[in-house]
Amino acid sequence: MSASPGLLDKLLNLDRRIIYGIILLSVLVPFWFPMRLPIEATAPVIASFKAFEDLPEGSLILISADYGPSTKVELHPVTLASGDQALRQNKKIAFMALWPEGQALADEAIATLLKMHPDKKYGVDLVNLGYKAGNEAPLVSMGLDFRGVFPTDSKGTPLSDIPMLSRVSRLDQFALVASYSAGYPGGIEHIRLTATQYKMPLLIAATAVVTPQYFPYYESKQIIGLVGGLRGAAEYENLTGFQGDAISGMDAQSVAHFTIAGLILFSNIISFLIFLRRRREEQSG
Amino acid sequence: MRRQIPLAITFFTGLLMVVQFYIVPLSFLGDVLASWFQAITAFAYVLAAISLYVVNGKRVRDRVSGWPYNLVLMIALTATLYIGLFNEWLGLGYPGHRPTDSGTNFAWMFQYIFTPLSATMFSLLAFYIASACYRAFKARSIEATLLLSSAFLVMLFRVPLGEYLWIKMGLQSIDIVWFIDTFIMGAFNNAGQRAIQVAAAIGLISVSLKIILGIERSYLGGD
Repeated sequence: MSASPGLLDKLLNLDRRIIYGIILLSVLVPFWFPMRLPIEATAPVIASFKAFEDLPEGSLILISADYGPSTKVELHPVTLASGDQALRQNKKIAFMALWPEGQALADEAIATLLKMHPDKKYGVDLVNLGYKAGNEAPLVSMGLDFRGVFPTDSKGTPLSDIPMLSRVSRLDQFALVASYSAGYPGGIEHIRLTATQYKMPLLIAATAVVTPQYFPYYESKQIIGLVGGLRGAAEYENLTGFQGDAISGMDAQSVAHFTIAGLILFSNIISFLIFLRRRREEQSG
Repeated sequence: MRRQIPLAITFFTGLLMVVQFYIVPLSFLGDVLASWFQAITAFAYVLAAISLYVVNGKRVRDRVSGWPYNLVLMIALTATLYIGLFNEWLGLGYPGHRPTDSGTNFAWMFQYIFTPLSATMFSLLAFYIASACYRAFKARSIEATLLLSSAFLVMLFRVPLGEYLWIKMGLQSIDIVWFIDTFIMGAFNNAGQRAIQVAAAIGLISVSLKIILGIERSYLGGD
């Protein structure tokens, strides 16, 4: 079998719009025909789930929403699933943000969670401390003087008037810190300061692109759990039984991964055939 | 003097941050400087906005190639600032106006303009990555083949469809997820990441020392 030289070159330099079309279809089709494949939870996600699960009732959890709308798809499902898990077990959540957009997304998460749990109240079970400028600087100060960094919540209510935080003045009064991080500032800064300097139990949820950089910290137990990308979020939703967007998104991600792998394989075969053709041409003349 | 004073401030502040870490009674200085840094960052946002106007304004004035994009940026920046600062059409919203509260025009803009635009920009990456992979991800050498093989394993078998097909192929006696987690992510990835992070940290210390000692001065601008 031999393909014509012109055809091979055309296939190797395939118009990018054809590739875009193939990727678009690979993402859309699974939404029309969901596969609902089983998702097995991995050890780092189970550890994150247990970190929330094992806390006693009434425990205070600090969630740092260090992401924006661009990475909302990957990280917001974990925010909602872990928030729902904590509220079901009567634990209290304070949100903070190292990203300006994180404050609005924390507000959105609080609104969703309050709708799901009508018995819970803002200020009693949930609070948004808002965004703090300065990248890692608020984390340095937070460990030394929590109330100095967050004198009020994002609405301007003094902490002393917020029932769930009225007696909180130190970071170590929180039982757990979770950073849902899409980059800088975020998880790495929390590891350096919140976990290492201030010895707080810390778990990280990160976008798939940056997850590999957190594995060494999980292995060395500097973080107690790691939720990586949409796949990790789907595992988390599975463990908590939360009906979120991550599980449905996994079908599209599965097919998209297979499509990209198929495209890479196809282009490598074409390249190999062109290589053989050139060698044959060199040998013959 | 224009260079000496900033260099002296950098030297003194850098030294103070190092010293306060090792001498406990001085550790409060770290907190004080961190608070100052937060205030400076807030001012930096104002400076950044002014700088955006100056840089883009010059490009629009000189009709540099692509100037309409600079104009769009300036209009968007002005509209965002206006909606954030002003509660109603003509009156300043403050005091009392919190633009990020739900129900405000600013919150509406965040939810219905910024969020979808931001998500769209990030989503486009998938298309570019697919196109780039098709053209550039070739098994041209042993190293490239190893990279390609490990990428294939992670891409195909860290998603539910891959795991499902693996079992359907009758290979359930080999735990592919465990293999990827233990060897690719747990061994090769961790070793590589640690090497990169340790090297980057040493590099950071070296650059910081050069800045503190005034050897590296590019942050002062000029030549």
